[in-house]
Amino acid sequence: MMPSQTLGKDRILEAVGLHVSFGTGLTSTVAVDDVSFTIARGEAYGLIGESGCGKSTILRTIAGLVDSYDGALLFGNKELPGKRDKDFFRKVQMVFQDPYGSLHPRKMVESVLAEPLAIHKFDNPRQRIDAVLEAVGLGPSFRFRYPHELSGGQRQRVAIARALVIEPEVLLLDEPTSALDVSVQAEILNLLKTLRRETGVTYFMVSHDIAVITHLCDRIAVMADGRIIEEMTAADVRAGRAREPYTRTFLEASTGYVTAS
Amino acid sequence: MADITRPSSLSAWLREPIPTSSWQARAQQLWLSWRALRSNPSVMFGGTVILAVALLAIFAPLVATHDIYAQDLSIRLQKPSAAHWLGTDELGRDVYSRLVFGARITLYIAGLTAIIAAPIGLMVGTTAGYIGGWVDTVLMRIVDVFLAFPSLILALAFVAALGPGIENAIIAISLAAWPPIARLARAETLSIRKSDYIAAVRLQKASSLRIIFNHIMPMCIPSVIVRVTLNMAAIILTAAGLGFLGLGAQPPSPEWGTMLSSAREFIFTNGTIAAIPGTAILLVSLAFNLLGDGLRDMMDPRHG
Amino acid sequence: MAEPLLRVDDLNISFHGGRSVTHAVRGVSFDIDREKVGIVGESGSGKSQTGRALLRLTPKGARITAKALSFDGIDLLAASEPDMRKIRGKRISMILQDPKFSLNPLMRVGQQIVEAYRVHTPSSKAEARDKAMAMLEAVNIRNPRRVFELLPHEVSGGMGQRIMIAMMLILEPDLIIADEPTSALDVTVRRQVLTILDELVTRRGAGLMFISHDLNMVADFCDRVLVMYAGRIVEDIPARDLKHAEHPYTRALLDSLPRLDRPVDMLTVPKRDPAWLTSPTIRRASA
Repeated sequence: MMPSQTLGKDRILEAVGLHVSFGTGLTSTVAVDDVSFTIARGEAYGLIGESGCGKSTILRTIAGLVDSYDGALLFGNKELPGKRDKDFFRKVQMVFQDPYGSLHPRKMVESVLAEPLAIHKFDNPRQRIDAVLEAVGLGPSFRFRYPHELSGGQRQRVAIARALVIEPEVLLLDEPTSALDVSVQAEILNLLKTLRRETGVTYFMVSHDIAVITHLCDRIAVMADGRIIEEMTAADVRAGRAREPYTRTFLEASTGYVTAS
Repeated sequence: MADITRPSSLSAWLREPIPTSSWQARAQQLWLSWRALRSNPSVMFGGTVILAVALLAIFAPLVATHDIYAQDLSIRLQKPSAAHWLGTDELGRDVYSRLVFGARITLYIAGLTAIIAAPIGLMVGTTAGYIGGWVDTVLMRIVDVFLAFPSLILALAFVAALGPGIENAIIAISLAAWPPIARLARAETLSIRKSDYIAAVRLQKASSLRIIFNHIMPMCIPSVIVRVTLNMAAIILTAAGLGFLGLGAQPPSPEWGTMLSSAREFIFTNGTIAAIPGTAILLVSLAFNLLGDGLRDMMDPRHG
Repeated sequence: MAEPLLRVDDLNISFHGGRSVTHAVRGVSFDIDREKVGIVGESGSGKSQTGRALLRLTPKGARITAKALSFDGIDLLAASEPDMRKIRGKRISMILQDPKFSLNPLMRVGQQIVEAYRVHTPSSKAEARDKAMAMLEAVNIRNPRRVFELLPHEVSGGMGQRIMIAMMLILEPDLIIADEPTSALDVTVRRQVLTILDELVTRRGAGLMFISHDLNMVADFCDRVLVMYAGRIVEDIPARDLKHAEHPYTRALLDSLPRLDRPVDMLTVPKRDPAWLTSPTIRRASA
C-alpha cells in the first residue's frame, strides 16, 4: 500500500499496519488487514466499501471499542496506548449510524449533553448546551425532549451535538445518514459541512454511498476484504480516474443509476 | 418576547408540547404512562384490589370491629353473623378483624422482601453482565448455588438456622427471591451493553460505575418491576407457607398462613375459618399476578 | 382500450388506534399493465402499505376502501380470504426487502422453493424439485445442486434475494410486487439482482410494482414512476421523462441527492409545502 501524502500538513490521525481479527483458532476472521493511512488536521477523510469490508471496524478500533489489535494508531504523532485515556476522548468523538439506537431512551436531551460536560469538567454547562443545540439547528427548546419524541433527523442532530459539545478535534462518523430519508440526509450533510467550516474539526467518515462521501470528503479510500485498495481525491472520483479494477467496478455499480435527471 | 402566561391548569401544563423544565418533562412522561396504565384492564383490576387491601391494612385499627387478641371461648367457631362479620375462630376471636390486621403483615412481608431482593438482584445482575470476565463468573456461580434450591426449602433452611419470626422470615424469603432477578438483570444487561448509546458513553470515558448505575440500570428496571410483581404471589405464598409451618409469624399473630394453620383441625366443624384466610391469600396473589401480567403486556411491545 | 392488469382507483388506507386516526394512503389511483412501474417515496409516504393492500397483507387495524381495486377482472376488495389465498403467490407475488427475515431460517432453501410450488400446483416431489432446480439456474445460481441444500444463514445477501425471486416467480405470477428488494444489498450485487428480475419479468410478460426510496434506481430500472408523498401520488411520469418532472416535490427529491457529476456546496433541502397534501396528481402519459 502506498503511504498517503499529506502534503506536509499537520498529521492528526495515523494508522500503520493496522490489523484486527476476531475469534480465535479455526474461527478467527481477519476484519482489517494491514491498513495504513494518514489524516491531516482539518481535512475530511472518507472510507468507502461494501458491507463486511472492515470500514466500521477501523472506526471502532480507533474509538477504542475493539479489544485488541496489532499495528499502531497514532494521534497527534503519539502512539495511542492500548486503553484510551480521558484526554483522547476529549479530542476524538463519534457519531453512530442508527439514530434510533444511539440515544439513551430514558434520558432527556439536556441530560445527554450535560453528561460529557460533567465527565470532562467543563464550566458553564447551561450555556454550552444552548450553544451546541443552536449550532446543530435545534435550539434550546429541545433541551427537555425525550428521544422517542424526536424524528430520525432530530435524533441524529442530538447525536452530533453530543459529540461536539466537548469541542473535539476529530469526529468519527459511522454512516451518519444511511438510516435517514433522502430529504433528511440532505439537511444533515449540509449541517456537517457547515460545522466543519465553522469549527475546523477533522472528519473521518465511513459510508457505503459514494455520492455522499464524495460530497463531504476531500480524500477517499476504497476498502475491500479488510484492505485499502486505493486512495483517491474527491476530484479523482468525480472524473472516474480509478486505477484499480475493483475501484472501477465499484464506481460503475454505484453510479449506474444516476442517469435519471 | 412573548408574554409568558401561566397555563391555566395542571392538565394544560401536562399537555404542553414543549416542556420548559426537566420537572415538567418528567411529569409529562409520568402522566402519559399513567394514561397507558389506566387503559389496561389487568393493571387496573389488580392495582385496585391491591390498593383496597393496602388501605384496609393501613386503616386496620379503624376498620376492625374487635380486639384481635380478645378470646372468648363461649362464642368459638361461630358462622358469620351481624356481630362477627366473618365469624369467630377456635379461640372466639373475630375472624374479620384478624384478617384485616393480617393484611398488614402480609403486605409488610411482601413489600419488604421486594425492597430488599430487587435492588440486590439488580446490582448483582447488572454488574456481572456489564463487567463480565471473572466477576461475572463468580457472581453467577453464587446465583446458581441459590437457584439450585427450591425457594420454599431455601427459606425453610434459613428460618431453621435463624429461628422463627417475621423478620427472619423476611430475610429468608429475600435470600430466595434475589437470584432470579439477578439472572434477569444480567440477561438484559448483556443485550443493552451492545447498543450504540452505551458505546457513546464509553467514548466519554465514563466510569463503569456511572455506566451501570446511570445508564444500564434504568433500562433494566421495567422488566425487574414486572418480574417482582409476578413473583409477589410466590412470596406471599412462601410467607403463608412458613406461617403455616409455624416458622414465620408466630401465634397469636393474625398472619394469614398462621390463621390457616390453626384452622386446619376445624375444617369439618367450621370450614369458613380456613376458607377465609385462604381466599384472602388467593385474591391478593391473583391481584399481583394480574398487575404483573398487565405491566408486562405494556412493557413488551414498547420496550423491545 | 383493453383493461389494464391492475387497476387501483381512489385507494384509502387508514389506521384507527385508540383516539387517533392515521391516513396512511389517501385517494391513490393508478394502473399497472404488463410493464415495470416504480413507486417512490420517503418513509411515511404510504408506498409499502399500497403494495400490501393489494394482497391484503396490511396490519390488523387497517381499514382499506377504494372505488376499484381490480386485478385481471377480479375484484380484490370483495374477494374472500380463500380466494385471496389462491391469488397470493400464484397470480400476484411479493418480494420483500431482506431475505434474512423473509426466508424460513430452519428450512433448506431448495425445500422452501419446492413448498412454494407445491402449495399451488399439484405435482410429485420429484417434479417440484426439478422445477426448483431450474428456477435456481434461471436466477443465475451457478451450482444449484449445492445451493439447494443450504440453509438461509449460509447464503449471502445477494444470493438470498435471488432465491427469494426464484421462490416468488416459480409459479409464474402475472403481477409481482417488489418492496425495496435491493435496499439491503451491496451496490455491486444490486445490479445482478435487478438484471435477473428484469429478465424474468420481461420474459414472462408480467407486471412489476417496484417500491423503493431510491428515485434514481427506480428511474433507471422501471418504465414508469409514481412519486408518493404523505399518502398521495403527487406525480405519475414515464421514467425517461423524470428530468422534466414538474411537481416541486419530485424536483426537490432529485435535487437533494448528492451527485458525482454535479457537485454542489450545499444540497437543496425540500421545503414541504402544505399544498402538496391536497394538490391533484400530475400525470403524464407514456408516449
